[in-house]
Amino acid sequence: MEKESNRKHIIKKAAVIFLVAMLILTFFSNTIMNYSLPEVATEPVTTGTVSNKVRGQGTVETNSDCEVTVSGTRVIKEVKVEAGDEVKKGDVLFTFEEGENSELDEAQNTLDDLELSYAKSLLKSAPDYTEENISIKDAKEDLKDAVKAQEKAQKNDKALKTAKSEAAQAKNDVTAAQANVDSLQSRVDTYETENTTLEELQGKLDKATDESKINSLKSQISQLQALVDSHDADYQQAKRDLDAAKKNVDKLTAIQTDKEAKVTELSANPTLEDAKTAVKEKRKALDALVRGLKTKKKEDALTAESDALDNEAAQKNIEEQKEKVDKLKASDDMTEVKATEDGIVSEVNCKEGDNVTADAPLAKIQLSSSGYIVKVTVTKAQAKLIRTGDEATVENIWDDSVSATVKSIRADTENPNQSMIVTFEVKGDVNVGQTLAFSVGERSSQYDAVVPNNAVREDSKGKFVLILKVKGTPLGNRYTVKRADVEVQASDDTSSGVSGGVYEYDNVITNSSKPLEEGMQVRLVE
Amino acid sequence: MKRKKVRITIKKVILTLVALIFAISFLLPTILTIANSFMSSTEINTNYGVIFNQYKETSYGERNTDYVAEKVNLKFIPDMVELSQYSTVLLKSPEYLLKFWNSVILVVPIVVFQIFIALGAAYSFMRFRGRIREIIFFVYVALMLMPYQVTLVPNYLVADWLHILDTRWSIILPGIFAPFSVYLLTKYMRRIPESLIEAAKLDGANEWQIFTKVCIPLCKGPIASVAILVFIDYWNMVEQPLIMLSDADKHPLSVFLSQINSGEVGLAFAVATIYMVPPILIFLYGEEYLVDGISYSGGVKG
Repeated sequence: MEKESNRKHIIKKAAVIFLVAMLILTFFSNTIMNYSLPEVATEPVTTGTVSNKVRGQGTVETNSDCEVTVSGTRVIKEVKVEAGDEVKKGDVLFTFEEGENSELDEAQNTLDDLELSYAKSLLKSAPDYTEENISIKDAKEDLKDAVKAQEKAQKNDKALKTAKSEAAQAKNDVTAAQANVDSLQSRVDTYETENTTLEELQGKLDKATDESKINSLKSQISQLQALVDSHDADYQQAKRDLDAAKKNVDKLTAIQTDKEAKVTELSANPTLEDAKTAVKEKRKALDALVRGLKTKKKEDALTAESDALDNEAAQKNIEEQKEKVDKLKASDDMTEVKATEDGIVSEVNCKEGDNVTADAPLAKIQLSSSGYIVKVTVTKAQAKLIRTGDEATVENIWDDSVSATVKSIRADTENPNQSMIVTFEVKGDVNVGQTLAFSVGERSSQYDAVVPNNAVREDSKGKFVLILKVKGTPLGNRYTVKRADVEVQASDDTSSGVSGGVYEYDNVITNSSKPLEEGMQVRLVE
Repeated sequence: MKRKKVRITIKKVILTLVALIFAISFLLPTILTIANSFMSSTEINTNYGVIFNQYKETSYGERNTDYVAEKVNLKFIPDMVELSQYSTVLLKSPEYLLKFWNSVILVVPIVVFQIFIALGAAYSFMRFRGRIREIIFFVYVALMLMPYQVTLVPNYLVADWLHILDTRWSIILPGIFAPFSVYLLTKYMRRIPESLIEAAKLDGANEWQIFTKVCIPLCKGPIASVAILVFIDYWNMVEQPLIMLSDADKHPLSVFLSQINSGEVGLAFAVATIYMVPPILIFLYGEEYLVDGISYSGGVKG
């Protein structure tokens, strides 16, 4: 029983899953189909004509034209023609106001200015180097002075050395003499001490009462007296010597002071090193000045040359301007413009009261003697089908009064990569401005199957078209793709005549949202 | 003794073999359908295309360039197992899915309401006896025995009169009041012992309570089997929608399946396989009710 309910449970689950899956698939069915099926656009195959003809239209012009211009700025007084008028040689086209040639005034002014500036440029002063020369001279003198100072310093240096050694010598002498004085002084002092002692003893003796003491003193005195007496001569001598020695020291000290003062004095003078540096600097300064002068001279030479060239140019300008002025003066009295050839006025670019400038076209005259042409713009591919000299059919004129031939095929200057301009020469009764439609090239012919050009595809096996196969089913129509190999027999701008597996009323696929393959199911664009 | 046993065994073997052969021959179409649903469309065209060849000509009288075997080549094993049929059916054919739901929309109300109506009718036939009842019941049985084609024209006329032609009601209404389930349920209810109803009455139950509390619970099995049978019957209907519904968008899948040979042979097997799924599930779910219900109605006394 449990097994039974378990089984039922599973079946229930399966049923729910199945239903939910179907629901979800139904909900998303259109989405999935739109994603999975490529969308295609088709066109039916028809029978019809395809021709390699090139068609185009343009307006009739004359073969050549000339522009009416005027020299100098003028004010137009009257316009005597309008577009479309036929004019004969000598017909007056425009008249001008008199005496208002501002161009001439301007030209004259320009000439005056040019002449003035030329004259000014000739007045330029020659180059002057006095200043530089003076500076160089000064620098040279400075150098000389410095050299002298150097020599002087050299001498001073030597004297200083001598003075220093002398001062040292004097110092030594003084020291030696002082030593002598000191030794003599000590001797004199010794003798004087003895004398003093003796006098003290004498004093003691005078005061002494005791016999023994007197005796002893007496003996001592006598002994000392004897010593003093023996030294007396020496003492005197030493005294004299001392005095002499003291004098000597003073003398030597004076000498030393003198020498040291000299050293100090010499030391105060500039040293040799300084002097040498100064010389070097002066020499450098001099060199710099000399170089500067040289450079300046060179520059001046160049400037002079270019000035000469400028002058030449200015002279030429002046001449040209003079010519212009002459010309303007000559035309100043012109008050009207006349047609130079027979023809038809195709454009008039000005009206009464306009200020016209020199060389601006006032009008265009198409020369009737030169014949008529029509220019037609075609693609490069089309241009390949045309040859110069080809007879063209004029499609919008039904009788045979007008004939046209291809005169030239040139690249279009405005769009040289894509288009060409074909010029037809038209003979017969046409007017300027008339629109003509031409067809030129092979004759068109009938084809059983004509498909749009974008339906023809190509791969390694050759050209083919994809045909849309419709299968009516109980579920509605199913569309599949079938490949049909074809041969393109002729093609023009839009369609191709093909032969092969394509028949009238087939639908060929022109566009698809995805790459297509044989047998693929597709859906039609809505 | 021994000989008897051997004889019985031989008899069994022979009977089993015969039963097996029958079983296989009944199952064969189903197996073929499922097996072939995994073939690619081209393979099916190659093997069975010859049957449908009259439809394979294009409007230009140009023969289809696909290779088609000259004889039907019954195959059980695909050259290449592919799900392309299924993907085409389920992913690239919104119409197919819509038709599936058309089937569901038609069949489910029929089954549900037919059971309700039939239960009421059957109870009445059981409870109220008499001459009139016998006549009505006879008419029911007679109607049930008639093939659909006989009642087709009256059906159509009535639908037209009710202005329900081309609407789903023209299918659903006749379906709801079909006699088959009334007959089957009446037959079963009559076997409910009188004593049970008497007992209920004694307990104070009224008719409604007897109907809902006694009869319906007793009839669970038959209700299930009737539901399954009705479901399968209407799931496979072809004529009613074909005649009543001119708008092909409202047609159920069964109609489409009947037309499958006109251009969609390559998908036929996958379509059929998917179409088989709901009846199979329902059958598996109510298998024992179905067997019981049919066997009861076959004469086992309750």
